Amino acid sequence: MTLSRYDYIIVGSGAGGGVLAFHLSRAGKRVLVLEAGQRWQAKDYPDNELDASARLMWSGGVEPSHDASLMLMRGRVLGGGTVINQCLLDRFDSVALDDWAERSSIDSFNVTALGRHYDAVEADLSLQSIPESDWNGNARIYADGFDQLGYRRAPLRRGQSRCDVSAGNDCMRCLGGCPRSSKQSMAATFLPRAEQHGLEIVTGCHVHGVVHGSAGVTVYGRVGQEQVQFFGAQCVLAAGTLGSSRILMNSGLTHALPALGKGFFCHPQFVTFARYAEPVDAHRGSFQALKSDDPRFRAAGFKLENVFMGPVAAAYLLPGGAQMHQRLMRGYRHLACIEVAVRDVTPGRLSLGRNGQLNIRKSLGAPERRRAREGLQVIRDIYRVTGAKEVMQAPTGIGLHLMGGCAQGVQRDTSVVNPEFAVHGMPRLHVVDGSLFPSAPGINPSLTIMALAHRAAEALLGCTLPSAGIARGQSIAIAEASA
Amino acid sequence: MSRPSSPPIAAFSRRHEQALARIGDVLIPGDDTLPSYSESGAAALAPRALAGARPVDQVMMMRLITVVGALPRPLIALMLLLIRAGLRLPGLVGAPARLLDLALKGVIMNTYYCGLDRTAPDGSSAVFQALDFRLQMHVDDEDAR
Amino acid sequence: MMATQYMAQARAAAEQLARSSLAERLAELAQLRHRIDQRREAIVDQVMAETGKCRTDALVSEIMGSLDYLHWLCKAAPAILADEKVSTPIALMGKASRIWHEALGTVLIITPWNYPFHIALTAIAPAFAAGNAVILKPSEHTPLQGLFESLVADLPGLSAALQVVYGDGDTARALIDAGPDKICFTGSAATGKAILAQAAPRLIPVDLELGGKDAMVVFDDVDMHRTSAGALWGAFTNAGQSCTSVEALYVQRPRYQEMVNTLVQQLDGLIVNEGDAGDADIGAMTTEFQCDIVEAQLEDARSKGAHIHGGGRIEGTRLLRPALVTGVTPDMLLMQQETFGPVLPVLAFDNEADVIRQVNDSGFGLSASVWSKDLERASRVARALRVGAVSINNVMLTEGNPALPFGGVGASGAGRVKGAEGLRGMTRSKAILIDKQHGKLEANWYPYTREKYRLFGGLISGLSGRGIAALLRFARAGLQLEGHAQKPRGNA
Ligand SMILES: Cc1cc2nc3c(=O)[nH]c(=O)nc-3n(C[C@H](O)[C@H](O)[C@H](O)COP(=O)(O)OP(=O)(O)OC[C@H]3O[C@@H](n4cnc5c(N)ncnc54)[C@H](O)[C@@H]3O)c2cc1C
Repeated sequence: MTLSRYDYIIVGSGAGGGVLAFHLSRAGKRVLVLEAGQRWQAKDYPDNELDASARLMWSGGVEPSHDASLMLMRGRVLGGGTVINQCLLDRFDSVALDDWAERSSIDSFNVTALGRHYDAVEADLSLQSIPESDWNGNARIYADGFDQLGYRRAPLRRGQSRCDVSAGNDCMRCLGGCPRSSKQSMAATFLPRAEQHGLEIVTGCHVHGVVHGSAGVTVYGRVGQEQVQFFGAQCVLAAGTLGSSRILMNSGLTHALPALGKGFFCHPQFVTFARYAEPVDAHRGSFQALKSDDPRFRAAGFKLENVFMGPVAAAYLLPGGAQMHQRLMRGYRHLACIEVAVRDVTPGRLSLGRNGQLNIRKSLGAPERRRAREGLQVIRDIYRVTGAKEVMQAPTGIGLHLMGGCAQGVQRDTSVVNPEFAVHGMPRLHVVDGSLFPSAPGINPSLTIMALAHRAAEALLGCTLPSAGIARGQSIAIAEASA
Repeated sequence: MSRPSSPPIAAFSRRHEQALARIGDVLIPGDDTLPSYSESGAAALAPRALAGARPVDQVMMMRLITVVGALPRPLIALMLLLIRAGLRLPGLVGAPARLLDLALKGVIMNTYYCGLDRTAPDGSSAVFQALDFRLQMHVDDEDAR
Repeated sequence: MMATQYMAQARAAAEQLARSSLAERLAELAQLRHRIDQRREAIVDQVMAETGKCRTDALVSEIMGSLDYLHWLCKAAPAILADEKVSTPIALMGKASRIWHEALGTVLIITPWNYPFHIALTAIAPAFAAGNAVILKPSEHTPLQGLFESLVADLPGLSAALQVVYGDGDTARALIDAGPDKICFTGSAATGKAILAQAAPRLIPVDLELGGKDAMVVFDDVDMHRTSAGALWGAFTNAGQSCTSVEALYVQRPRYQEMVNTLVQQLDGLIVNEGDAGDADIGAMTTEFQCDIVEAQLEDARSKGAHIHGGGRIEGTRLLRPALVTGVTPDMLLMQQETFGPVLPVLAFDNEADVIRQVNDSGFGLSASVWSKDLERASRVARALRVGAVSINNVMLTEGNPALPFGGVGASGAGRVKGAEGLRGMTRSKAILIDKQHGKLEANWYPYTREKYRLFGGLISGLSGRGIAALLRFARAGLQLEGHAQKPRGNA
C-alpha cells in the first residue's frame, strides 16, 4: 500500500494558502491543501447570521482576547477569511512597507518591489470600485460628514465581479459567503482554478502540528474523530495568524523560535452607531462604499470605516438595558454606523495555555487609546453635522485583521520566517499568510497577503512566475481544452 | 475502528432551554412589535448557535445557563445590570463582565435576531418583521457554482 | 589490506595488550565514554543519516544505552575479571586453587544495521576490557564510516586494539578464514548458520545473537493504558527493527477487544518521519529490502484474511506507517518469520497453558514480556517460556540493565553478551592449582599398590559418609595413605 507524498502540503486555504496553492499547482507540483473548515457550494452558504457564525467561523463566532476587550473573528471554511470578509483590496503604501523593511531587514519590502506581485494578483481578480450610484444612506451620511468637515474620502475598491446591486442585491449577506460567487473569495477564484491544475483538498481537517524531517514534513491532525497524517516534501503553513502560530507552538517550536507568537496585531476597531430620524437602511446594497483617505488620519494612525452589520451583531454591540435595547433595535433601519480602525503599535502576544488553548494577550496601550479617541471624535463630529439624534458607542472592540506572530525577517531573535519564507532552521517548513506581517500596516491586509503568496510561490519554485493575468487566462484555456 | 463522539452541546436539554429563555426575557421582554425572547422560541436554537464553539466553552455555557437561569428574575436583572456596568472597566478588571456579556448576551442576541423564528402570523420571522429587515439576493443557477 | 594482514595486526596488538593492566584499559574506556557523551549529537546525526531512525530512538537506544553499558562495565569489570580464589577440597589439603580470566586474543565482531553503534560498542568494550584485540566488521548498510576510529583516536590501547574493516559478507568470510579466536555475530539466523558452518572446521567459538519473534503476554488484570502504551513502544521502537521488538501480542480474551480498540486509537497518532529533531515517533526503515519483506508479509496476511489497520509506505521514502494486524492465523508469514518492521499482530488466548504453548511453539526464543498484577502468575509464566529474557510488567527492559545477560534460545542463537556472562564470554578461564615445593610424593602417584587401593576406598567412604565417625575414618585413611605414598613398591 502506497501513501501519497506531496510536493507541497498547504495548511489553510485563505488569502495566503489559496493564491499559493494555485501557483504551485499550476507549476505542475503535486499540492494538497488541508483546511479545517468545510467546502460549500456558493448557493448553499448560510443565509442567516447564526449559521454563518457557527459554521463559517472559528470558535463559533468570536474569540476574546485575554481581557476580553477585543473580540477577534476569523474564518473557518474553505477559502478562509476571504469567504467571510468584505474583500476590500488595497495596496500598502510606503508608510507601511518602510516600517516593515526596517523591522525585518528585508529590503524587498518596498512599493516598487512588491508592485510586481500586486500586479500579478490583481490581474487574476475582478476588482471594482463602488460607484456613487450604489451608495446607501449610511454611505451618504459618511460622505456628507466628510465633505462638511473637509476630510478626504475615496471610493472603496472591492473584489467583486457581478454584484448587481442596482437589481436590489444586498451585499451584507456575503459576510456569510457570497451566494453569487461575485465576491472574489479564494473559493470563487484561485482555489477552483488550482483544482483544475490538480490541486487536492481535504476539508474538515484540523491540523495539530508538524514534524520537520530531512526529506519531508509530516503534518498531523484530525478529520472528524480520526487521527490523520500527511506527508509532503515541503509544508506551508497558511492557517492565518492564530492558526499558523498555534501549529508551530503545538509542534514544540516555542524554544527554537524565540519570536514565535510575538508581534500580534489586529487593527482594533471600535463601532459607533447613530440614530437618525429618517430610515438610513445601512444594510442595503453595497453596505460599504467609501473609505477615509485623509493624510491627517493616516499620520494619526487610524482610519474610518463606512460599514454596517446585521441585526445579531448590531444587537450585541449596541449598549443599554432592555428598554433602550428594544427601542434601538426596533429602529434598526434608522441606524448609521462608522468604525474607527486603529493602526496598532503595541504588540500582542500569542501563547499556549496549560490546557493547550491559545492565549491571545492583546492590550490596548496608550497609543491605541489615543488613536481611537481621535477617530471617535471625528465620528462624533460627522454624526453631529449630519443631524444624528443619538450616538451610541459599542462597549467592546473588535479585531478582524489578525496579523503577525510569525514575523518575516532576517534575524532569528526578532523573526520566525526568513526572507525565503522558510521557518528559521527548517528549510522544508514555510509560512505564507497574515502571520508574516512584521507590524500593523493600518491598511486592509488581504491583498498584500495574496501578493506575498505570489512572492512565496516564486521563492519556493525558484523562478519568476509568468506575468500577470495568467490565472484567468489559463483556466479559460483549460475549460476550452476539456470541452 | 474509530468511534464517533458527540459534542457536549448535544446534552442541551429542555431545561437548559427554559433557563436560557428566562434570562433572555430579562434582556428582551418584548413590546407591542417585538416578541419576547421566550415567545420567539429562540432558546431552542442555542445548540445550533453553539455548535461551532469549542467543547470546553459548550460545557461552560450550559453550566452558566443552568446557574443563572435558576436565579429569581430580579437577581438575573441585577446580574445583567452589573455585567453592563462592568463592560467598560479597563483590562482584566473588566474581563469577567465582558466574558459573561459575550456568553449570555451573545447567545441570546444571536438566537433572537438571526431571523430563524417563525412566529409571525404569516409564518415568517416576527423579529425581522418588527425590525422591517430583509436582505435580498438573487441567485440563479449560473451564479451558484 | 588483506584479511590476513588485519588479523596479523590484531594478533600483534593482542600481545601488546597482554602487557597492559585492566585498570589502564578501563581508564581508556572511561575516556571513550566521556567522548561519546561529548559528541553525542554528532553521533546521533551520523546514525540517523545511515539508519533513517528517528532522533529519539538514536539518542536513547544507541547513545544512552551505550553510555550506561560503559558506566556499568568500568565499575563491574574489576570484580568480574579479577583472579578468582576458589576452594580446594580437603583431599587436596595444603594446596590453593585459582581461576584467571584471560583474554582470548583476537575477537571478530560482526554487527548488523539496526543498532550499528550500540551493538558494536557493547561488544568492543568488553572484548577490549578483557584484553582482546578487536576487528569490527560493521554492516555494509550502516558502516558509520570513521566513527569508531575517531572516537578511539589517541587512546593508545584502544586505537591499537580496534580495527574497523568495512565490507559485505565476502569481507566477513575472509576475516573468519584468517582465524580469529572468537566470533561474535549479531544478525539473521541464515547468516548465523553460515558463520557457524565456516567456523566449525576451524574450531572457532561463535556467539550468535539472532532474530526473534518476541511475544508480549497480557493477562486480563492489567492497567490497559500503560500496557497498551508499552505494547506500542515495544512493537514500534526503532521502526520495529529490533531483534527483541514485540512481534506477537497475546491478550487474554476478556480484554482482547479493549486492547485492540485502545491500540488503534494510539497507533493513528504515532508520527512517522525521518531526520527529525526528536519529535517523530517512528523513523524510516534502514534498508529497501526490509521494507519489501514487511510489505510482503502484510500483503500475505491480508490475502489470507487478516484485518490490517494502518500500514502503508510513503511513496519515494523508506517510511512505513505502523500496522496493527488482527485475525491472524498460523499459516501467515508474519507468524512464521521474523518481521523486523512496524507491524503488531494481536492474538487472543484463554489461559496460562494455552499462551505458554503458543509462545513456545514459535521456534524463536529471544525475549518475552509478561504483564499481570499477579506477580506469582507472571513469574510462573516467565519460567515456563523458552526464551533468554523476560520482562515482567515492562517491555524490552532486560536490555535496559547492562548487568543482565542478553541472548537467546533455539533459533534465536546462543551465547550471551552484556552482564558478567557477556564479559566473561570475552575471556577463557584459566584454572590454576598451586602447591608448595617439598619432598613429599602424592598418594595417587605411582606406585599403585593393593594397600593404597584399599586405603583410597576407605578415604572415599569417609568422604561420602556422614558424622564424626566418617570424618575420623577419612582422617585415618588419609594419614595412612600419606605414609604409604612415600614408600616404593614392594616396601609395604
Ligand atoms: C468580517 C471580516 C471582514 C474582513 N474584511 C476584510 C477586507 O475587507 N479586506 C481585507 O483585506 N481584509 C479583511 N479581513 C481580513 C482578512 O480576511 C484576513 O486578513 C485574511 O483572510 C487573512 O488571510 P490568511 O491567509 O492569513 O488567513 P485566513 O484567510 O484566515 O485563512 C486561514 C485558513 O486556515 C484555516 N486553518 C486555521 N488553522 C487551521 C488548522 N489548525 N488546520 C487546518 N486549517 C486551519 C482556517 O480555517 C482558514 O480557512 C476581514 C476579516 C473579517 C473577519
